[in-house]
Amino acid sequence: MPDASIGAIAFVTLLTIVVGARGIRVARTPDDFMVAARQVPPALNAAAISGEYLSAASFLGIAGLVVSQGLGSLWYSVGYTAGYLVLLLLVAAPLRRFGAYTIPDFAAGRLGSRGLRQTATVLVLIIGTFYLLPQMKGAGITLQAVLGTPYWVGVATLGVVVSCNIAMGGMKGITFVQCFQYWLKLCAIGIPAAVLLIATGHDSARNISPDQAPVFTSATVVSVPLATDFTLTRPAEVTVTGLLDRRSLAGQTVRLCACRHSAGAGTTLGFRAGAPVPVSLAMAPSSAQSWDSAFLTSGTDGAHPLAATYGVIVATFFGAIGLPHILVRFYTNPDGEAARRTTLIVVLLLSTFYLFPAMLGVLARLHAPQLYMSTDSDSIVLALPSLLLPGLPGEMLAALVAAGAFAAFLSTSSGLLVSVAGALSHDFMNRGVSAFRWCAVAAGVFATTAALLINRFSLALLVGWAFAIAASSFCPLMVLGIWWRGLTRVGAAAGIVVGGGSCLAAILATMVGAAHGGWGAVLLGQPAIWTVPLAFAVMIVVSLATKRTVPSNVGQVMLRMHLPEALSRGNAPAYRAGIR
Amino acid sequence: MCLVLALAVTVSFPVIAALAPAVTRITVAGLPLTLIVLGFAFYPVLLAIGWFYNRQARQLEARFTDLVDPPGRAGRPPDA
Repeated sequence: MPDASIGAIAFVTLLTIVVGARGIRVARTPDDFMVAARQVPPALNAAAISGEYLSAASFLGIAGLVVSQGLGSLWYSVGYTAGYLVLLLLVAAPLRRFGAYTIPDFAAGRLGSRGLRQTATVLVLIIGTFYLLPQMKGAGITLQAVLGTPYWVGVATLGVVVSCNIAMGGMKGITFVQCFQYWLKLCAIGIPAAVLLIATGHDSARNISPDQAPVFTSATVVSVPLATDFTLTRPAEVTVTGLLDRRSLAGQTVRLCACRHSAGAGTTLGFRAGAPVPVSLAMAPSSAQSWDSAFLTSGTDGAHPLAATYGVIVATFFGAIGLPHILVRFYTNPDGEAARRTTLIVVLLLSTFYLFPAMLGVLARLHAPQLYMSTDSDSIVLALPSLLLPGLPGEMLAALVAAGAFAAFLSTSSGLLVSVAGALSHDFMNRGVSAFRWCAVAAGVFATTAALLINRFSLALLVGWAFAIAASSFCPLMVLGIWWRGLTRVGAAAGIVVGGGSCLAAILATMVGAAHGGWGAVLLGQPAIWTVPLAFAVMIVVSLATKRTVPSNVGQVMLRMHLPEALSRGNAPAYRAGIR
Repeated sequence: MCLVLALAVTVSFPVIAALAPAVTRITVAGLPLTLIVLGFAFYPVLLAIGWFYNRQARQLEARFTDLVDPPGRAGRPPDA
């Protein structure tokens, strides 16, 4: 059965390696981008940005959360898109006119401080690592679902492929490849969603209606791959083969109470039409709120859903500005006006993509409630096609989804690893090619190892955390740096350290399980709601306190960022010299 | 201005949902309102705001350029 999927994954991986090997140049040197600049039209550039941006969380995570936690999880997809609108409104054009390639470049160029540059580089490493982890996890569960290999095999495979590929010099900023990746991902999620929608129709609207626990619409046999505890909302008669509640049964029909049960690995449970769907404890929403609620509960034990929702909104809306692997693409725009057009097209492309995870999530809820017995919500998208469409068509769709998912992990983790290794080798080691290679391998090994420990967190939650750190450190730096003359280097460094540090501390506390329920769980699990205002406040207050150290060239730098190209064209060489 | 509009639009939906839970019970053609708003309706709004902002910014920059450096003056090509 998995042959088609293996083939599709191997094809995507091989394609990436081959294309990468052809560009045998290392690192994203400014010159590579100077060449690309003035040649990349906004539509192509926008597809490249989207291709690098759409990651495991978008491809697998959101649909899975919609099934397990409810429709409120769609705030993640809205936020991932709206982040680019905020980027368009606040930074796109001035950033292109400034001419920085990375956030440390921007910090150093705007405020002229080497210490600030290194602080920013450390943050790039932290955000990059947080963003890499979910990609690794995605690869782990994808191979698990397709091949049945243990979790670590997929993680290690992606780690080795990406690290080697980048260490050998592949996957530099090849605009065309990333552009291709966007269309591949769109097809790999859009075609299955459309086919499954047509194939299943929408006859069983019952499971979607408010406050209804899901029920089986037809007699269904559920097989339990791993030992799982589950609950039933109503008593039900079930035909059981295998181990259930420590009893070994062979096809007997038993009446199960509306309580907790445990099924052994390999057990099959036959439910009748109209029977309540069993929900595995790993999947059960932690709060009692209904599935169609507009709030989001992931990562917070279900406490104070309104605050948790705003936490995700703040993190995703303001986080896109501070992502280390996206910014560099803005330099390939010919001018500020083109940067704005590119960003708007990115919003359009992302909007199109995010229609489909929502669709898949709702389809899974409607037609494949047996997925509630799976142990990890992130593998739902992978399992859905063959459940809804048995036989060859389902297998083909499953292969397409697996290939698209792998494309997502490869493109995002390559872009991230290049950013991380580039920052590491540029700012903390001698700047040679071999330093870059060693940094790529080291970062890859570190991310792979760490990914083995974070299996229990959902993909969208992990990526949301990377956004939260970016929003509480780099977002204030960029916004104030572009729009406020009074920013000083001390103020910027203090804001980055306090904002990013407190956000990171809150997330680590959640990861080790420090808070259970209540306000503690919300403020630590979705920290952006307080760390972003805190970072802005610290940056402004400290800057005001150190007013004397405002850089003397601030007027000139501001002029460069905000003056339309038509007026500044004559001065271009003069200000370029000031940056590097 | 556009930022305020964008934030107002997005930020208001959870507040409405919290103050009037009945709103989320509305269904349109069998689909819950939450799905329609979060799954589909937000995106055209985001795009419209972005498009409007881009148009305003372009016009403003063109007006500013003409003000500082009127077309036809020596040293500046009239088409810039």
